[in-house]
Amino acid sequence: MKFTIHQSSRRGGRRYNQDRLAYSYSKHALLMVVADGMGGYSHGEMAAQLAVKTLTAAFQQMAAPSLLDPDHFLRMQIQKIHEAIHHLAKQKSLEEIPKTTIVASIVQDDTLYCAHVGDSRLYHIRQRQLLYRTEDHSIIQMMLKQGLVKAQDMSKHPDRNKIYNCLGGETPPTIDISKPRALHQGDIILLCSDGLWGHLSDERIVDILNNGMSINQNIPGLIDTAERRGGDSSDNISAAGMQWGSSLEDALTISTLHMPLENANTIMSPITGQAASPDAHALADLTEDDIDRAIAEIQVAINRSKR
Amino acid sequence: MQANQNLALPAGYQLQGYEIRKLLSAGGFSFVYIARDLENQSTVAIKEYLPNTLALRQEGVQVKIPSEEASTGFRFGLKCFFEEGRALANIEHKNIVRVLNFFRANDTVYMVMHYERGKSLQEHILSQDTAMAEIIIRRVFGELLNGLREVHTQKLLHLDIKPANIYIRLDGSPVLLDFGSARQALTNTPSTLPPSYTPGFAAPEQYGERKHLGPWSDVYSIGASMYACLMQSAPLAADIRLKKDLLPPAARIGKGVYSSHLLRLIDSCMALDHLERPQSLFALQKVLMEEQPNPAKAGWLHQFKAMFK
Repeated sequence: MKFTIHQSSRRGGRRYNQDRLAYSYSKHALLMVVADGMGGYSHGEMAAQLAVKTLTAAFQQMAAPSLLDPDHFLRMQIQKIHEAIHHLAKQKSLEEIPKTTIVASIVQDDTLYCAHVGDSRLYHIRQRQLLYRTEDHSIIQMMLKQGLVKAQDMSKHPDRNKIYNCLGGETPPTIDISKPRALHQGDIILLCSDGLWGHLSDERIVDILNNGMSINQNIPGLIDTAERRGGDSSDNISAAGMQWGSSLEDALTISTLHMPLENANTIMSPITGQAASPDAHALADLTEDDIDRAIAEIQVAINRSKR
Repeated sequence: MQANQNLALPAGYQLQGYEIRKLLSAGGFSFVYIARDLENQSTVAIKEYLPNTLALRQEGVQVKIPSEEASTGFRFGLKCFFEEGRALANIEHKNIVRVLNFFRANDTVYMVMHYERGKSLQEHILSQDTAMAEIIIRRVFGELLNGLREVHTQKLLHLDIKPANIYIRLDGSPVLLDFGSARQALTNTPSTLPPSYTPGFAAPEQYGERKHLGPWSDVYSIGASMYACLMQSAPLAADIRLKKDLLPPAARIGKGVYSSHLLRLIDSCMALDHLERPQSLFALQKVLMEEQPNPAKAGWLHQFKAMFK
């Protein structure tokens, strides 16, 4: 399995970043997940963090080297997250139950599996064409379907951010499982929160992702553009992009060919609340002077052994 | 290979007296670039300290440390980077990568190394359809041990020997790279730095408490690397072997292709009990360099040639 991946998250104009994203891969499977903790609610980031952690932990346990049934895995684990959020709220006696959206995808055997709840999205792009996009569980999307609003008016509608389906809500979530999709070499998968797509049309997203540069450059590029357009009031913006295969030879391309069967790696962002051990604190007491001294010592050693 | 969520320096970027050509690799704690030394127009490899678990550079070239926690993690890893620099700066040996410069810039640190032309042993293993010939294994590892002995003489352990870190120059001589895990573990002060190892190649004592680290730990990794040459894949990780040792012995998988002398040596290097391994590199090297009879089943061409000797 070979792919190039980049994920990034920015706070935008908000006080907190309530978005969480992660990817995890084993020898034969790749998981990507984006969760957008609900802004209006307290502890939104708690729900998003719980979502991402639960999913990656389960993946690490069950996906090495591959999953038996990716769709079943997504459905079961997302259901579990909903229950875990309620449990957490009870345990901490929170007045309001924290809520989050989720979009998660799994790639295994050149097939893309996807599940989502809420308005965080997945895009599947092949050769500059948008092949597929998840449908938001939002009021405005429902209105569009019923013909109550026109597509061109959606981006300015006052209800454009209201969703009717999420994790942590009073009613159990409806987990939307997309049909499995064949993935070709060079295909691009993008997962993002509404902070990103809220300011960029689908066409613009496809354009930026196909400007000839690698996914490592284009994901920060996408976020930059969205942030500029959002201005000071910009929402949290998160995006994770993955290009399948090795069409673009890049030193950052990940190959799982030589990964041991029993392993899985997880990368989460943003890095938060990972308390360093006290041991680490004690060891990290490196002052500016210490750094300069260490470098000087090494310089001396280099010059000495050159003779 | 691991992912790195940081942005690499762009090609053409001028870093002090060097110009970045391209990104060579992205590891857990650093990027490695190919660059040109503008002073004498030579090619060098530059290692940039940038831990991949911390998102420190999502744009531009400057490294930004977002929080107190990240700063702790950053400085922690920096200590390890200095250990590597110190270790290498003190060694000048044909089979050990040469450090040329070490400096601070962009709020991180850089190590300039001699650029070796060639391919890693890992690439060699993977590019071949058949397992590596015994004579090559003996020569590469026999020579590599000259360099590793120098490392041990400096009271250092490498602790991350694997085919990806063994480079084969165009003239066939090996160079040991990546001393990011090297520790002054031969001294009495126990190291409290975080463990870093590669499953499959790390000795069992590198997992857990790491009390029994010693030259024999590098011996295990040498054995595992030789094993990878004949298996053409990484051996089973030692921590899994400790629970249930399902590793097929080299003596079984290499039978008929390699001499039993070499196969026995590989198996002894990979003994789970460190006391059962060759206890010094010198002992190991002696066995490796010994003149060996031809493999059990010599091919017809070999026999044909022997007739005319």
